[in-house]
Amino acid sequence: MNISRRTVCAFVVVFCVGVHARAAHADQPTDLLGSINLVIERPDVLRGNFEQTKTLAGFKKPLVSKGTFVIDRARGVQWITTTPFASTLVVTRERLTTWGEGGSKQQLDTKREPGLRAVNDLIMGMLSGDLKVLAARFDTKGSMKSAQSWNLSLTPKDAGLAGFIKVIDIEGGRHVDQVRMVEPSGDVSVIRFTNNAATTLNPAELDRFGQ
Amino acid sequence: MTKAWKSSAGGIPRWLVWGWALVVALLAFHQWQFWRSPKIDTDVFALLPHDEKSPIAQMAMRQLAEQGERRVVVMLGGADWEVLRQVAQAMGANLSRSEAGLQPTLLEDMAAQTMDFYKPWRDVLLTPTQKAHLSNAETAQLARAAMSRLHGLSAGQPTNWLSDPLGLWTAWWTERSGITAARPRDGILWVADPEGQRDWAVLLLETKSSAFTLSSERRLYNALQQAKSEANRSVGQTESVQMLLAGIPLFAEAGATQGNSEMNSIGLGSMAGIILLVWWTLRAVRPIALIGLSLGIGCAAAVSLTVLVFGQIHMLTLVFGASLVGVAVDYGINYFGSRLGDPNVDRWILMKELLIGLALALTTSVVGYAVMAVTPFPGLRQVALFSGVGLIAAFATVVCWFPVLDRGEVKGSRFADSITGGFTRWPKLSTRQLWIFIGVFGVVSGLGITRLTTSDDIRQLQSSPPELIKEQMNVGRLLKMPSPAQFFMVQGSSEQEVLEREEALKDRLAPSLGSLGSADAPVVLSALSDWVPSEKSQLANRSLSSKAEIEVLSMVSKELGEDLRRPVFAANTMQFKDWLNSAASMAARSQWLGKVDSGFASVVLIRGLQGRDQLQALQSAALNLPGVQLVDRAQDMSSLLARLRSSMTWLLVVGHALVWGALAMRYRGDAWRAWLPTVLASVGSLGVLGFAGEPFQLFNLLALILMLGMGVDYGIFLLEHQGRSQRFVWLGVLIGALSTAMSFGLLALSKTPALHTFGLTLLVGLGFVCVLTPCLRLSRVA
Repeated sequence: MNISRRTVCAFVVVFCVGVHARAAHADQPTDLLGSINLVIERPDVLRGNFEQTKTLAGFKKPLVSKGTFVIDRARGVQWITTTPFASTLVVTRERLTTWGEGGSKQQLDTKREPGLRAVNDLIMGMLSGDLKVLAARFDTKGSMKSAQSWNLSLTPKDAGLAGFIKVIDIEGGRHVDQVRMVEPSGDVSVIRFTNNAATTLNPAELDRFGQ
Repeated sequence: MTKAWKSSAGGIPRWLVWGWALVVALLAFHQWQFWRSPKIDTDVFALLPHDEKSPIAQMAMRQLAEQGERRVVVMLGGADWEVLRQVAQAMGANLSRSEAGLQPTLLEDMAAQTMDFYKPWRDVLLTPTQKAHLSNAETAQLARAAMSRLHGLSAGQPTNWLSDPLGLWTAWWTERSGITAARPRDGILWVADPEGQRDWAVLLLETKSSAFTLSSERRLYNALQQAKSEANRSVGQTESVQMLLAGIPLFAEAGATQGNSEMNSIGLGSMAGIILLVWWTLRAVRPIALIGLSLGIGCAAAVSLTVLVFGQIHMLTLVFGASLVGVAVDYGINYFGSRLGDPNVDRWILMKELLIGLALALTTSVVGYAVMAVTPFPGLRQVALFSGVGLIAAFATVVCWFPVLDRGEVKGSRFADSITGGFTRWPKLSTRQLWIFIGVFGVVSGLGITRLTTSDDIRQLQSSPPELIKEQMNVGRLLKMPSPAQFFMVQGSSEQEVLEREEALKDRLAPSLGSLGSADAPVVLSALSDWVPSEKSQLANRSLSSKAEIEVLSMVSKELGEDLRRPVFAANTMQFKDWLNSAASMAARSQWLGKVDSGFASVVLIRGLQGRDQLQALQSAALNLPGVQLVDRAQDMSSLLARLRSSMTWLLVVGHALVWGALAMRYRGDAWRAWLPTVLASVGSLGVLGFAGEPFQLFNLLALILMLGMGVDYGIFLLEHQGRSQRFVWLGVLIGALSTAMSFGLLALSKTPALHTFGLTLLVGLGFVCVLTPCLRLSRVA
């Protein structure tokens, strides 16, 4: 499995068990988000390459994986890992699907695990820099580094989410360039995006979105 | 003064007058205290019968219900989530500002605490799927999955990779989250409608107190509606947002306001009717004032004693009790009726003449009410005490005070004259006519009775507004709440045995659950052992997970050139008591019943049940499991009602025999004249109910038993008095019967089906008794 479907579920789920979130306060610095919104491009379909580096407790060396991604604003995200394993993750509003080695397929329906939809929104928000989605769940702070580049630091608003994510730092310009996620355990993942470009879906990708 | 008093009172013993005055003074004091802060009980379960056969099941149901005693759930539905979120949040803010006594639940975020509690025992917690998978899968396969996770897109996780290389914990949490369909989204709770493209925002509220006062207004309900429309306005929302409301406080409140209005309409309606009747008959203020006094004291005594005995008084008792007015009026009316017949006789002497008849009438009525007290309905016990005490106090007021307070003449009226004059012309059946009448009446009533259908539906016990019930059911369905009345009860000699038996139950039912439910509508069990497995399965899980993880880590280490070590988990197992006392048990605590007579007990809830056939399938699947019992409270109570119905039928028959015996002792061969009208009326009222399409149920029988107590009174009065005085007794009987019928007629308008049945049966029955009794009168020349 790529992004473990289970991780995703638990991520949403745990804080339901304890019950529940407080009302969100509109305390984001709207001017910063506004400025970023002016800079960032929002193509209908965006594709590019990624390189993920995980630094984990107990590991001497960082773990690196590489591949490509496609974000369709209307449909969802495809996360296609090529190194060191071939695997594909497709996140839509309706389901989360993973294809592993040898074409093994696992699918999780948002109908059966409704919280998944929120996670999918979150992944989309994180990768495409959809600030509105992110600001609902995270306290945001950051700055414009120049007229064309910015950084944003996200800390979860509620303790439930904080049990999974300590902080997410995003850097970007016209697109999101880097996402750095620190987990409460101290495990850190850094994802760098390159060759971001507006594009259209190819037939294989359309097929994977199930349309 | 004493002398004049004595002569005017006609020799009534002074101790009687002053003694009763003392009692009334005490009552007045208690009433003054009580009404300053009346403790009105609106417990929605008060009318549900106590089931002596299964006290633990009853306790379980109660405990499950109490958990949400103060919770109100608001669900807002619509197509646009953003709008719903804004409306919900504005509504929450409105409510916390308002004076309605509803606060948004600001439950602390328990997630972190819960997670921290479980962390040391991550290795003993496995889902059934994981257990099977770990036992069967090969290490290489597991290692591949671990490697894949290691390199996959990270979206955060609760522990570091090394502590959970197979991602076992997250699936365990996913399964736990099945206790509700609500998920946090954008700072509030959210549920997707399973049948369409709409969303629901969920708002959890808590009432400040669970007490309700007598009020004609649905305060909570109105506050919620108002908060919603204000929220709509503030958001600038024009699209319609659907609102569903649920929660016990709303039902209790609806019951309280409905009870309040019924109590007023029955009590005030009866009172007004009585005043009119007495005024038409006697054309004087004094009798009205005195009869009002006897009713007032009767009601006050009834309220006071009920509160003293039960601690508080139930709304239902007040509604039913309001009909007491029409019954308690009999004694005063009879007194004045007799005075009219014999205006010059000394009042205490007159009273002494009336005393035996009145006391007999009182006794039979009180016994009729007392029968209700032997039923296992806590609500009816209160009603029985209330009514018995009320009648006795009204009776005592008439006997002890009327001869003293009723000074001056009683004039009567043309209305009274026409009743007394008309009495001699009232048809009187000869033996032959009587037999013919019985024949015809019997056949017609019999036809009606054959149309009666029996009903032991427990829904007759509740009177909640249908739209509230519908919304509650919708909320339950959307949130995937468990069935409140159908569950498994698991008992064992120790806490561990209970948990082990729960696990055995879950194992046994797993295949049936799979085939009963579908992917979209699963049937799921929720047990304590989900949260804290038995010692045995904790140890089994531990050996499974440690073996698999150690092997996987060594394989991954080799592949990546690392030296990965599995972290240390808690040395002991998770203790049930520690769990119960921790915040981690919040969500499931109400399922633990604790120590019961034979050991310990817990409840295993069933979610997603859709029909009785599913329940039966589960029952047969769980057959012969030790300590496990499927509880179906709805079914239990219906069969309890059925049992009561048959035992009450017998009681009615025995009661008739006893009454006839008692009458025969005093009236010998004429006893049937007092008894037969009630018998015919009982049959006749059932016939009428049959023609009217009303169901036959327990409450008809209780009404018939009470009617036996009241109906024979009329016959007794007419037998006690012969000659000229009989027609004046008849005046009292008729006015009294009209008052009683009016009160029960008003009770028949109650929205509580049980009270409606009760009132209707008595209205029809007493009508028959009233018409038939004079037809069977004995007319001896005095």
